Amino acid sequence: MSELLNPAFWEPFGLTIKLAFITTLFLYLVGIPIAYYLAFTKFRFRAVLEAIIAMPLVLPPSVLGFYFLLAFSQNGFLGAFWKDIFGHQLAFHFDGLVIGSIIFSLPFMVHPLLSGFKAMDKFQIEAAHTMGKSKFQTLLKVILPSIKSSLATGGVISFAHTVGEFGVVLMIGGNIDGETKVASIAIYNEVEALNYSMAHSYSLILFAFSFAILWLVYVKLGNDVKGSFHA
Amino acid sequence: MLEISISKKLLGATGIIDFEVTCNFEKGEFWTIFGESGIGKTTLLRMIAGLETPDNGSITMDGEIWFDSKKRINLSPQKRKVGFVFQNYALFENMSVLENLLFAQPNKNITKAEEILEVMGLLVLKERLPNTLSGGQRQRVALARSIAQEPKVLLLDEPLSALDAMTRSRLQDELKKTHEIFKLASLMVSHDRSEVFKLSDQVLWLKEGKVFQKGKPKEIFLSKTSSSKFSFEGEILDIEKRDIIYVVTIGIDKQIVEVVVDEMEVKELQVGSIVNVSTKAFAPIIKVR
Amino acid sequence: MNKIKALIDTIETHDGITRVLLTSGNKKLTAITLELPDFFQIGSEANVIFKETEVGIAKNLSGEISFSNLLQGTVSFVNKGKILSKVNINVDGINIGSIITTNAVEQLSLESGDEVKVFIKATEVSLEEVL
Repeated sequence: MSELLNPAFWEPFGLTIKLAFITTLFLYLVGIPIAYYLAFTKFRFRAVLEAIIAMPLVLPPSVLGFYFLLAFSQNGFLGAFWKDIFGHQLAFHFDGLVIGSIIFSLPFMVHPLLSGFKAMDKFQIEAAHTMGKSKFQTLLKVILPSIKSSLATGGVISFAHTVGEFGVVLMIGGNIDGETKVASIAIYNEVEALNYSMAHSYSLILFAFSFAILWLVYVKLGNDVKGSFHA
Repeated sequence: MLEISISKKLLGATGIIDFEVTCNFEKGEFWTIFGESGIGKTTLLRMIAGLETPDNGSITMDGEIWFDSKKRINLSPQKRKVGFVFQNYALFENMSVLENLLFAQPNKNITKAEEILEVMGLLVLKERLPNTLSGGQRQRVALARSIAQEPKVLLLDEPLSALDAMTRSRLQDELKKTHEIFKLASLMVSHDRSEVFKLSDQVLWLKEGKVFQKGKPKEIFLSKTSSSKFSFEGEILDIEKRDIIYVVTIGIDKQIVEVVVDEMEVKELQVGSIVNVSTKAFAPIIKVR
Repeated sequence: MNKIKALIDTIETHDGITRVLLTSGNKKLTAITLELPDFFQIGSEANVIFKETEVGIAKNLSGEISFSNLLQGTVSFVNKGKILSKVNINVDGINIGSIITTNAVEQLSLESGDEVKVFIKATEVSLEEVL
């Protein structure tokens, strides 16, 4: 058990939490406008947009990871663009992990928000409009406070899903200590190295952590959330 | 004055309705939009508020054009200054009663908001969240909130329909009182004749999407086709032959009455039919309870 | 319900009470109402309606009577019940029904073919727009 005292052991967990936290934050910024648009705007290619957002639910993470890798590398369009601005490519870098995770976990944020928006009492929105409030003011002051449980659901599930991510990270992140080696990758490494006791330590902690999150979710949010796991 | 002359094709319960209404509403008048459900009463209010768009025509408020299909003007609901009391009240559940009013005000003014709550007997509830209020209280908060908007016209979509008979009757009195204090041009949708009679100065009676009649409630409701003064709508619950006459049992609102009819008349009557029951003003006997 | 189509001759209003005089053939009819709807005008047609239970019958009537509506007819058919009876009277081709007590039918010994007078109180007569 001496490894528990070694800071290097904890590093992958720190990275995992950091990744999940930043991803969730950005998912709110991206997910709220997308879900709002899907819920309140009539447009022709709604089904196309909805299908694209739901793709990560059905695609093997390796497929997604493979395309991310192509796009994020120095020659890929996103990677090149990123390098021009930030001086490093996206693949094999923490930034790449964040972007990959955002896209990969998008449906887990958008779906709860979308159902929240759709269940919203339309008359409250219209009432706010007759009071001279703009759509943005209405979103901020009336709609978002009314869908608190959907916001919490989306956040928790996106967070948990990012913590549990493996395939995409492996494909685009590689395995760099302190940069892209998150907890799930660390387990894989230890198993590869036939270092089962370390793998056990990582797994048990991840197991306990995930259980704690879900338990909290079920206690605090109850039925609002449960349905979303089957999304 | 609110001047309306609009048309719109509506999808009603019985197919497409050509909705076509022209009417002027004076400031300080309480109007009721009366008629069967599904003929566009609510849609009319929504078009005035800018929540729906007419196909053709114009809506003008005190000379300001809110909608004009020819000039391609269509002001957003935000710019029209209407107070809208929705059927479900649409209170903001995350805000207290006072916050609901403050949110509605064009310029936040706690003193003014509290004055309105005071007048309507709601001041003691100002810190409460809407979901802790009774139906009648919620209705009053919705009304107070729309007044706080300082609207040019107040639109009420069946504001009392969700309440029990007792509360409804009490709130009718209160609505009348409130109207007399604030003197807004008010348009209320209702299909309850007694409510219309009690509250409104003017009635706009719509039938199949068109204006069927408009005028004072007394003129409209009492002079339909007969000179009877004692007239009610009811549903036939039972028809029974007794001796050589027939006794028809009719449910009127929450009362049940029996009416004697002749065998020739009974042929036209069926259980379940909606009928008008009337007698002359000379016949009924009134007793003080 | 009895219904006679008639022409409005006179409308006389005082203090919110209106007396309407009508003619149907050679019959004179009177109705008393409160405010009269606008569509009832002198010269316009109206249905005079009244319930069978408001119609009285007299045989060999002599003397004077306060009823404003007095019609002359012939009994065409009597339908006797235990307590109530329906008497149909032909008044110039128009059928007027009257529901009176069987006791009264027997007292007057009403039979078809009898010449009778029919009367209705003016306050029990309603006017209906002819549609």
